[in-house]
Amino acid sequence: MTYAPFAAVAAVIGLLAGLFGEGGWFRVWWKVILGGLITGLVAATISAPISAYVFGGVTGSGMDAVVAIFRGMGLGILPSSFAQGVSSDPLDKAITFLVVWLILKALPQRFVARFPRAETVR
Amino acid sequence: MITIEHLTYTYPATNRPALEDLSLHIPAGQFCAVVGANGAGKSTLCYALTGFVPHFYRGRIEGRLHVAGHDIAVTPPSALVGLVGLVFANPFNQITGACYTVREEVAFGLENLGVPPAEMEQRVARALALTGLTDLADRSPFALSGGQQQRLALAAVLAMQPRVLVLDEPTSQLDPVGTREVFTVLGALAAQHDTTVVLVSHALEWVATYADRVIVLMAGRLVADGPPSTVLTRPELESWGVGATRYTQAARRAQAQGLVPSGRPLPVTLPQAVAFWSCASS
Amino acid sequence: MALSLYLPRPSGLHRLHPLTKLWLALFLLICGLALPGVLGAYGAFVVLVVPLALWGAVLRPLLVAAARVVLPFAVSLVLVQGLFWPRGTPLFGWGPLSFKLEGLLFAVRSTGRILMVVSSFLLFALTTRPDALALTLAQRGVPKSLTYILVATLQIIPRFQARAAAILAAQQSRGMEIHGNLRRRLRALLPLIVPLVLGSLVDIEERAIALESRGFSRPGPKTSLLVLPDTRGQALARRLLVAAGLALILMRLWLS
Repeated sequence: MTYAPFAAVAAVIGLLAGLFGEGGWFRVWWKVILGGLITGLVAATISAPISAYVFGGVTGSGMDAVVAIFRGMGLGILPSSFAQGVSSDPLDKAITFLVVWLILKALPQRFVARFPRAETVR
Repeated sequence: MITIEHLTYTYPATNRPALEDLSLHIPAGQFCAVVGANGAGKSTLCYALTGFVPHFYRGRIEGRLHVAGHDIAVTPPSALVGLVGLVFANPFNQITGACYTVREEVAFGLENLGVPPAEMEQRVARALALTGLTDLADRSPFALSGGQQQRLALAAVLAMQPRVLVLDEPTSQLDPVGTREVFTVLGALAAQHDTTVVLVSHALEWVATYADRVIVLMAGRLVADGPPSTVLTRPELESWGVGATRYTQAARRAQAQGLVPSGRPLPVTLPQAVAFWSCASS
Repeated sequence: MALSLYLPRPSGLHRLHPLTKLWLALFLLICGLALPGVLGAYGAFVVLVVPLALWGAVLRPLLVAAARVVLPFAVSLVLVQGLFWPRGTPLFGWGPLSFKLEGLLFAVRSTGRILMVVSSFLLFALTTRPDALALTLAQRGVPKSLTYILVATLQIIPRFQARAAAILAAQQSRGMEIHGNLRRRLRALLPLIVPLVLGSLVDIEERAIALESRGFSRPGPKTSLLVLPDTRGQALARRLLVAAGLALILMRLWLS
């Protein structure tokens, strides 16, 4: 709920995941990872200004150590927030995409075939 | 009300048809029970009667299927709303999740049909009364027991006043108390004879009590069709994976042991069993 | 039971039309972000949020929930921005590791903003039934598939969590390792996730069928059992709130 200002970020992540699926990127493992990395980069870019303006550049979690390092190096609040995002989001989304892909692979074919456009993920 | 001619349906990514060359006619107001082993095509039949086969599940369909005057092959489920109602096994999955009270849950379908509020109030009240949920109207649907939730699913469908009611194992996830609750409502419905009911159920004692007719499916084909007293006493029932009612089993064993003269018709309901045994002891 | 924060109370705030409360929450959010000065957001909290929460009889739950969310941010802000503000004026501390004046002021100001973001949301969520909000949005032309997601997720996510807990317990009772090193835990994760996802997809499919057979995606006009009373006064108040919010944004842009 605190993350309500980040709703736009979540929407963009969902949109990108959908587009990658539609484009057939969920067929090969390395495209899955690449799609996750790109999505993470976009997410970091959009969320940095929101985080900097509304939340003072911190996340209230352990990841703030990264923000502290960049601040200590003399970076501004927005760049530090962006750097924190870039250092975690792409990896995070790549893993998320990979897990989703593994789950899709593990689902019975009989079940997946019921969905329209099932062929875009197999 | 329901006319099926040479219906064959195959799910996507499967080879064996789930329904094969099925022909069936169910007149208006009939209470028709469908029995059969797991995988016999019972659920598929229910989905076909409501248009989810083939419009939701896709796959290949051949033959003719007409329900309440609509050709299912070209009628999506949304066009059958209010004409054909569906209740299935899992009580929880039938709760919309969009409503905070039982009353609103029952009204959900009526809202989508655009029923005027005054009429909606009446129809909701009637459906709640018929299913014995009036006292729970202001509770959260998630706070009800399984049997109550299943009666709620029934109430929500009945409020739409469908001409055909399709029930796919409505008591298979309920305890004996919940089962009794649901069948009591179905009994009241059967007594009115104004709704055509297709009931899939393993609860043979209840089926025998309320159904006008029982059909048996095996591997997607219709293998028996007739009144409960005839179909449910067929010796092949065991090999079809259906079994028999407790009353039939006891009577058959008694005949085999020579306690009762053979040739006497086997009972399928409690009153028939009482008659069977009272003759036996005299 | 449900995930919703709504607390039923017989208050005037509860009885307001959801749209009025939505605009009110947005106005409070703008106040929190646009009011100038280190203490601007705190002023808005004391002058606007606290009296409104008192009116709605939800002050205590609001304060408790807000504190739980805001405190971790406050700690992070004081540590990160207070200690690592580049070229700031040292106040106290030890050599390079000292709290800077500018950083602490920034931390205080940001905490105030977060407090207003959180409490404006809480004020709305604590006093508005999610289904009333969904109906309001649907009546204003938002697609029903979106408003449905809004309400249904709140009610169904707790069920999802319960199922995850049940599967976890089942796997544990069969000797699955849920502690230990990362590799061991990753291997333990798959037998948890696949039944959870497959079960949920089957559930969703069934629920989709149940919704369809109740006319969810049926075209044509819809009616509603729930009636949301609205008044002329509230309609006027909403316009004033929008105007005041816009004025605050303009003021903010003009100041900076």
